[in-house]
Amino acid sequence: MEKGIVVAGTGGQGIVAAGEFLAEALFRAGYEVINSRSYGSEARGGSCRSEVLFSDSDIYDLQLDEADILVILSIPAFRRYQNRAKKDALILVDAVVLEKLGESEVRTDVKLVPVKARETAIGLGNPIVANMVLLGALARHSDILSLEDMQGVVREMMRVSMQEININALESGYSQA
Amino acid sequence: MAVKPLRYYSDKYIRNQPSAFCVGCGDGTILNCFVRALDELEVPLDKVLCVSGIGCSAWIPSPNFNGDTLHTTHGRALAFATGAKVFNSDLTTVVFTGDGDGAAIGGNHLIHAARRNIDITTILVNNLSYAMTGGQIAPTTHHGERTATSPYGNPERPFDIAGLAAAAGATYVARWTTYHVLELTRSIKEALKHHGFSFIEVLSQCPTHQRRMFNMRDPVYRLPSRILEMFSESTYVRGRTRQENYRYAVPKASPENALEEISNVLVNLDTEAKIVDHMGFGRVVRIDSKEPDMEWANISRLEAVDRLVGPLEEKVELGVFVKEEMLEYTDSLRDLIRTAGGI
Amino acid sequence: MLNPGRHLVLGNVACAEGAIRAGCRFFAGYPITPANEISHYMAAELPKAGGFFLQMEDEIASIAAIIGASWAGAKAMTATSGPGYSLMQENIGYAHMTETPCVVVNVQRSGPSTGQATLPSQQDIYQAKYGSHGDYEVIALSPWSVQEMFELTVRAFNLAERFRTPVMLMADGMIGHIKEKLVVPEKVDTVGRRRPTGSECVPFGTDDPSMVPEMPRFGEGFRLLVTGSTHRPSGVRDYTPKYHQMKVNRIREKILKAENEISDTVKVDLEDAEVVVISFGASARPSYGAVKEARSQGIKAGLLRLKTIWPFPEGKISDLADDVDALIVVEMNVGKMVQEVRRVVCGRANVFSVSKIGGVLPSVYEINQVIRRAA
Repeated sequence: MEKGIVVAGTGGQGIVAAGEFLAEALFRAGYEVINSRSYGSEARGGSCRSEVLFSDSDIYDLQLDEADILVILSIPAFRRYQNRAKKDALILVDAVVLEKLGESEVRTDVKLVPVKARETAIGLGNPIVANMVLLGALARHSDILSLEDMQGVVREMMRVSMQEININALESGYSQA
Repeated sequence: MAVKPLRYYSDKYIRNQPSAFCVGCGDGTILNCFVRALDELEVPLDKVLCVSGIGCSAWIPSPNFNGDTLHTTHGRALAFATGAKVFNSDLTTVVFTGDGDGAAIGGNHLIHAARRNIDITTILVNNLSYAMTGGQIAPTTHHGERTATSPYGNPERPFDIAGLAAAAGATYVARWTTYHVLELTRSIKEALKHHGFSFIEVLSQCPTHQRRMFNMRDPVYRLPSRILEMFSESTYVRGRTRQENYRYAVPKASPENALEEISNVLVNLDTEAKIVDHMGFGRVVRIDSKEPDMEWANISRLEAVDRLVGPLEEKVELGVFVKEEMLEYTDSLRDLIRTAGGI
Repeated sequence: MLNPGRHLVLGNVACAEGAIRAGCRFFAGYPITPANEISHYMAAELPKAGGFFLQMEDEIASIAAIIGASWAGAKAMTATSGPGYSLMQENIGYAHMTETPCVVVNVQRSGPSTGQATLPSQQDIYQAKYGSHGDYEVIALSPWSVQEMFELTVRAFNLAERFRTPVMLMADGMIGHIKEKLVVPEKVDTVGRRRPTGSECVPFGTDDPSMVPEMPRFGEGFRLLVTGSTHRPSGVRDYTPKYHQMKVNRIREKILKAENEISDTVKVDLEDAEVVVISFGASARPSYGAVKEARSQGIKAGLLRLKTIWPFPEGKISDLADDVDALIVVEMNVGKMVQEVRRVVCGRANVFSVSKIGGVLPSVYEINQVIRRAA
């Protein structure tokens, strides 16, 4: 089994951090993992993506053609990456992004899950954790990682002062219907 | 300073290799001063590392010096020396470089070594050109000088290298010439003892190229002393004020004519006039006067005289310009290791 | 530092970790994308191990400093990318001439000149061998994974000490910047330089069959004469043809005749292969996938992966040429390794090139297509 996740958005939205977090969580869960990232021409305000390939055996490929899971935080990222998803792929996208798109711009052959990411993050006190809200939703809508797996990684990896808001963000994302 | 026989120094400090220096080269003098300084300080020879780049100056330590020597690439001696000194700070590390090697291609490494204040002594031999390769212009060559790469006269202005080293942060900076051997030896001792970046610029004679540069048509055996006398005449030492009253008369054409006319005017006066070499003005007539009310205007009005210049005009200042204590680089790195928790 | 065990690590970090484990205690470098993470890790971790990290004023000073440090006794390394690697070439030649052990990491990016500064390539492989002026031989290694960024850096140090030579670690911006599994071992086998035993030493000559002289260091009373000029075994400058031939022949021979010891290749499915893909570094990853896919398509494909690219494995490739119909060389440049293969194969088999530039890896599909056509 080999799957690929793409986290994409704008520089400054914690895309790389989210990808690294997911990669670490999957790695600790025992998968073989490859995590790579790329930037657009500017680090801030430019496009940014992080890819996570994971498998239960050694991974030789480095490139992901079509993702099994997409986590999207910005409109340009949605437009760019929606077509690089497999049929029936799981696409978790911030609700504010989806609101701005017309029906014709959105694929119908995928499992599209809008998540109130930015709104929830602001409510929790910092818009930067919108990425974690989406990852919490990922735990809910796929079986690759549990919420507990993810929260465990927060406790092991993050500074104590950052842990609470991140755990709450994951929880909020998970609990959204 | 106790005077030991030359044999003592050559047996102990000099490798038995044929010398590659030109007859009358200042490099031999500098090597001489260096080993005397080492000897007086009783620096253990096994712990001395001499690093050099490319050029005539590079051959001062390599292969002549009987200690560890590292003869590297053009302009890069200080960078190589930095690596060795940082890793083994017990090494008394000395860099020999030249005006081209040290201030042109090596300029960047010079200013950063000075900025870091790394405990290395750098002796920069300034012979005013790229001597080894044929006398091309260097960052120290005078404006207007005709050389192999400036057949119409040097379009560039020279550096004040000692000034550059001081501005970059060197904590011991001095300039001497190969005429001032006692001061140079003493300065090298100070530099070796100094814990920080020490820089000594040494104006050095290169009879091979400077004969053309300074238009000296003497036979070879006379050139070195003539150039050294020119160095003596064309420099002054900071802090040493001379009380003599003298001027230089720059001739319009022949210095001999000027001397004749001047001598005629000076008859019955307590004066002395002679032709000397001046790096700034060429062959000029130096007039020393003990007369209390000397009428210099009488001389400047003479037909054969272009103008009269003062005692310090266009002269190179010598001396110790900087001597201060500041945090040294290898100490700083070791502090860092302690902070990080390493041994 | 990482504890022994399984970690998810960035390629560049694995390289730096391997260096410290191999005994590196001196690093000098200059900022350049995509090698910076090596410097950052070294800056943080080397002092903890009692080592020295220096950021020098440029790449020329960096390579000079590591050579000076090596002669003072250090295992020393620098890391850079294309533009910096070009600047270092003169002093790399100096390291060859003076037989100075040291490691130079080139995390290759796409050129020429500033090029695609953040994107990977394998464009510098000829520069590794011929970058400096003059005649010499080089050892160059090519890691294809984060694990190999660790292991081959350790090997680079060991080879540098064993053969008294600079060793090039030809990494690339792809492997340098992915995070992948690194299993850090309990123990790492390290090799030290052969130090003089007595009070006398011939620093540039030896009767030892390895042709590698003892390596002294400054400050021990050997009164060393180290110079980039051609020299006699004692170090004394001597430009005569006899001494030049002696020196250059020996520094080349000591590496070339040890090809069996140095050369390291991995064979995948070669036993009955009719079409063999030859690749190295990041390019070998999709090559592996393409070969496996070809096998599933019924094609007798195999992969020869080069972990050492110089000295070039002449013998192995020559043998292959007699056994197979086609060789396909996959690389991220305009076709450089393929020229070596063509040279050795000398018409005995068909040679195809998959040469991809632009900062992107050749895809499994692309390579597979060529395998199918060649079969």
